[in-house]
Amino acid sequence: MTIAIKNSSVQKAVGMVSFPGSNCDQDLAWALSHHLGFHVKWYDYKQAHVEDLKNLDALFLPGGFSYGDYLRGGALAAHAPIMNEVRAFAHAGGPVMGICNGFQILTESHLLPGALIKNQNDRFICQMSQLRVNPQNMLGAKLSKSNYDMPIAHGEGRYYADEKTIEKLQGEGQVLFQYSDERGNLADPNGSLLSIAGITDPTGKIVGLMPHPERAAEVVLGSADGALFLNEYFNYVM
Amino acid sequence: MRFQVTVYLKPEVHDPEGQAICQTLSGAGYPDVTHIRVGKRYVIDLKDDCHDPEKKVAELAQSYLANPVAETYTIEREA
Repeated sequence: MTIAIKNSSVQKAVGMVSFPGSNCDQDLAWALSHHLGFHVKWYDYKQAHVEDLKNLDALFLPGGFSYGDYLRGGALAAHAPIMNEVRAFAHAGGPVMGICNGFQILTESHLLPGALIKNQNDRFICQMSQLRVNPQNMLGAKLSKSNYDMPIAHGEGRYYADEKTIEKLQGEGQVLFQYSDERGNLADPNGSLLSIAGITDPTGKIVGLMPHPERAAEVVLGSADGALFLNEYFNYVM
Repeated sequence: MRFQVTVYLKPEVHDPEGQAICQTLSGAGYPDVTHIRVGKRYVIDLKDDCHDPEKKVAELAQSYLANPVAETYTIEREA
């Protein structure tokens, strides 16, 4: 299934991998196609071999509750047949963004370090969040703002890693977004180490974040910072 | 043959679910309960002619059933 685009001269195409239980894929596809003008190609999670993945400008793993969060959030999706191709795409330098459950899938796939575990206060947290950009991050350095407003909605969003990994993340500039308050001071909604809301690989092309940019794609949703961030991500990777 | 794999958060990782249960029980008439940790137990049946079952179950535990970043596990074989 492909989403029809309004402007047929648009050449750029991104991929969307949807798993059973993914439920933020339609919103993300809307943001990517309607606001950013991308052609969105959908990929079946059962496909073990996909020829045209390498032609994509980026690949997205959307939010939701893939496989019902059974085993652990993102743990079963990480072993779906399509993930061999996703890993190959990423290892060849292809840009991949995992949002919320997609971030969990990226850590379970070892494409990003660490893990997302149950929120510190054992509650599902659903609120708008202020995200402070780390200018030491390769992608962060290219973002136009120092703070982005995007909502979070998760029960298992607490970022955890051992001390050695945290030191490496800091040393390599892999922290992208940290939860902050309106004054820019670090905040702690869910117990994430270093208030981490999003990280990247050392190149900045593989991104995992718990906040939902697709839910901040237009002002009527409370913030358009998500569309801005997605646009700036594409400017960075393309 | 049957194995049981029990997965817990590592001791140094805060277990909010365990804490919530402990606090609730403490207020419900069990103040002597000082600490609870919640784990998951996987019961795994293997074919009787499975080759090197201990190794296979260890691989399952390490690579699938537990996330070694934040979790630890034990393996028991049922007699």
